[in-house]
Amino acid sequence: MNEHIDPAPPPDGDDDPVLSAAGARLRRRSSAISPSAVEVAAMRRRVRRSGLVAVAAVAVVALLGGLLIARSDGKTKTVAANATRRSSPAQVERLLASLAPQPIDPTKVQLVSSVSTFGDCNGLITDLRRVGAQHVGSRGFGDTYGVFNLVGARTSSATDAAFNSELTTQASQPAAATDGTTLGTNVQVEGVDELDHVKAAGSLVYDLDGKGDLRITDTSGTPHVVSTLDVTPAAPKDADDEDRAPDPTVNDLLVTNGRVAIFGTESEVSKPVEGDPSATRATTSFMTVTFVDATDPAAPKVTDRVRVEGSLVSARLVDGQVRLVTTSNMADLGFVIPTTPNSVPKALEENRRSVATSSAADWIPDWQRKGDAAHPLVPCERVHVPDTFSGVAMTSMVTFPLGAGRFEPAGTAILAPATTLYAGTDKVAISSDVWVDPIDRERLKFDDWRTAIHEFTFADKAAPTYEGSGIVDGSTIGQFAFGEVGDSLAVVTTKGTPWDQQLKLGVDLTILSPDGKGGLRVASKIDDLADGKGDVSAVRFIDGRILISTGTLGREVDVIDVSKPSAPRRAGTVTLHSTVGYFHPLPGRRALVVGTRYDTVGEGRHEMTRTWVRADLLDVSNADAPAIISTWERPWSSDEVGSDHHAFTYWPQRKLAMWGVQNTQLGTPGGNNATVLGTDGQVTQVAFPTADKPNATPPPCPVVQVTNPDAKKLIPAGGVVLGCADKGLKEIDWPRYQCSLVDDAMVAQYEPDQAGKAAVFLCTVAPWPSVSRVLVVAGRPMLLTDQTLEVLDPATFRPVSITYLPSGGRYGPY
Amino acid sequence: MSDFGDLVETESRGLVAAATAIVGDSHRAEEIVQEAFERCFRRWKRVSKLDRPGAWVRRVAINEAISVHRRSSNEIRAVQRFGAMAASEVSDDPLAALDDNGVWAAVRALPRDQASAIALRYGADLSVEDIAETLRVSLPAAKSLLHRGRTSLRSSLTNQTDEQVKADPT
Repeated sequence: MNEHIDPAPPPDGDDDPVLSAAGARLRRRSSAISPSAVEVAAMRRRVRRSGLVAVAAVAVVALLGGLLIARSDGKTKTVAANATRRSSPAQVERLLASLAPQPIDPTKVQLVSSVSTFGDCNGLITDLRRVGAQHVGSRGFGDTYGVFNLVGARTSSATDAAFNSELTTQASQPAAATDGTTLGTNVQVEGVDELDHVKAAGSLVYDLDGKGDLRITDTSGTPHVVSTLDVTPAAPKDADDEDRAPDPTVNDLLVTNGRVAIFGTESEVSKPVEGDPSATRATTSFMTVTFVDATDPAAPKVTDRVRVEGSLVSARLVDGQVRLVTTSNMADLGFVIPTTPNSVPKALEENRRSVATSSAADWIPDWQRKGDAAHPLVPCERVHVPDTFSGVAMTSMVTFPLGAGRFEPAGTAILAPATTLYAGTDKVAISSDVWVDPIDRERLKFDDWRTAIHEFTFADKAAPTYEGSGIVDGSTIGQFAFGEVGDSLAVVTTKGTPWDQQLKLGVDLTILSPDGKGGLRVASKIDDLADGKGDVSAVRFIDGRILISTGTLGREVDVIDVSKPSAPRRAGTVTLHSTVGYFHPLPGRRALVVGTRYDTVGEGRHEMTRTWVRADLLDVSNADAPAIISTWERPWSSDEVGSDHHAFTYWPQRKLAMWGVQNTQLGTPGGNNATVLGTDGQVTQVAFPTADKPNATPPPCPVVQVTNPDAKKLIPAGGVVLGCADKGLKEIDWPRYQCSLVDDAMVAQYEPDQAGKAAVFLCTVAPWPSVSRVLVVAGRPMLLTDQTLEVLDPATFRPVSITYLPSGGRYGPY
Repeated sequence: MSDFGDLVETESRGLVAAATAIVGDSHRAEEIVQEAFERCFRRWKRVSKLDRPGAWVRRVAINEAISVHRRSSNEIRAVQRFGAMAASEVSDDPLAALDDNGVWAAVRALPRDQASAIALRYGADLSVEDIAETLRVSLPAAKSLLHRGRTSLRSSLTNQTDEQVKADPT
């Protein structure tokens, strides 16, 4: 037997010098993890799972749907099946083998303006896989958060055409009869309605009450609510589930002939991935469209409700057709990011493989009716792909008849982001650039950056048509990049890339016109609009004029005369006295400029900032000598017109401008108002009606006399405690008060006599009503506030009647 | 910096070391630790309320590392090889005769609970109390795991050496 070698006795305690030294060396060699990398990876993984869930859902639903649809519509079945068809392993390997070792170098890409369409889904997805795989990097397609953050909000950078040349249409409308006029809240273009939370038609007012309901109020006689319809199905509630989806919302509506379309948002939270101890869930967001048949206003009913992947950019109602623009980013295909330098090649290979195995359904958003199959929002044949790859965001332009009461979309799409997008009445313009991975944007330098512009047109009831593309120098400037000048498209650009704009080097105007061959040619151009002053804060398009606001506060306004689009010229300059919130064009090349200014009053400790609401009547009929010809202003006031131009109403037949004004002077008596200004020749204050409090009524439940001294301290001055016998009540409305349910435990603590016997509400004095919209319904002006609908006399603007019409949520009292 | 950021910066390097000790691949270890922190981040609302969020993330990472690691025949052969190396060196402590790769290969050959304790103690440089918290065992149990782990390490190397001697009496 061999001699046994005894091991060394274990060291005392846990002091082991060999292991300690080896451990110390191991720690020195080990990398720390970056917190930001963890957060980014967590977000990506969340998005990835969302994508996978969506893909799986689409595949399953399309399969089931295909069987169902096959009986009625073979063509639809083919499209749905094609959209989810995946490539064969051999195709994938062939594509991967054909790729260069590295993604395409964007500095060597030559931008071309053309776009391609494909005869079927196979052609489309073959192209998308190829260009996608060529461009995808080791981190996928970079930033996805911007798109996902858009959910529920309209793209702030999308140009709202209401600020631009469309307004000229209304300005030139002939005066109509005054009597019986009903204005919605958007009167910028005759016959074109925009989204808002309130609409008027005939003698009816349709509004969303902020609690998920559509409310219809008949204003003939004294206004009264004729129906309230819940249009927001509640999300499944699980009080213990922190990851449950947020409640659906409804935000805007459109109305025609008693048919209502309501736009909102909803989210879906997936079940945790099986086997994942973190129980991670993916959240996917949708926009929703709910159709209501309110031809009988007393008995409205929901006729359809669908959800559409992506988010709402713009929607308009023209001749009974809704024209909708959405954005989505469905091509996050489970991309990975490398965690170490050594894993970059592996990550690149994985990401290329993800693109190579994608299906058309991964790229095209779909829409779905609850319990029904998912459908592509746009058929593959109508997806336009820029011939220079511009990323994976998809902008979809869809039209559908509101009167049908069902979602029946006809759509066109382009694989380009809606970040700088113009959505006019008929025209939609979208820019696209050479794709550059966000991670490389600081590192790479680009000389002579250029931008492709693509134009689409909505017409009649058909899907929008592609009109053509052109190229402009530089990059488009966010919110005010586009405008229409006659039949041409004006584009404002600056030097540099979108992420490194060189405003100081000049802001240029390019006018693109159809070239007759399906393209857009540069018809004319003005370099350095701001004349060396750099910062451009806004560009407004007004009937043959373009107004360029420069300077920090945008008060210097340069006028460009574009009455001849082929020969635009610089003209005069005017200095405004307020920060511009809204331009409203008026006949005769005039505009009412609604803005804000500030000054200070008092001294020392008593010095205060005073806000003014101001309206200037600007005359640019003589482009060389623009002038402010009249001004109205009001101290200690603010308004919402700058942030929401729907708050402004123009009554063209009477040439009146009307909007709500809030009193900003604390401690002064009186409430909030609306201003009514005449704009004919001069700006004159016609009226300044106060939004009255709702009529007082007895409390809806018995008053509880609070005796507990501690409880009394919790009740604000003027507050009242009510005890309602219906213990299930969660909320009550009481004019002039805001009531909230008191927690059972608190009731038991302070008023044990009430505990378990009643629903106890603490009601505090409501603030003064604040005017959110000035409506004109059947010839009568009305103030819609957060608490009331107040009818005014058309001649004197004095109150005629006040109807209690409480709103909650975002439309409720402050 | 957020509390989460502090946690990552405080814990990640040692945890990567401990995971490396268990899986034997630093890149894989980084991925495991990053994923553990990702899970932590996604559930931060809950994890941050724990007395010791670090123990939570360590537990996730170590469990994952242990589940990923499977002692393969290659691993066993490696231990045999290192055992032979140890036998060829003149040392009272066979572990001291090994280079770091050999040491950690020997650790990976231990039963899982012992390997975890050793990796956390010497790889992550954690106290016995933290190890107990992480592995959800009592303090004496954690001490016992460490002691048995250290003993097993050396005895396994010695036994391997015995086997070598038996196989090759020359």
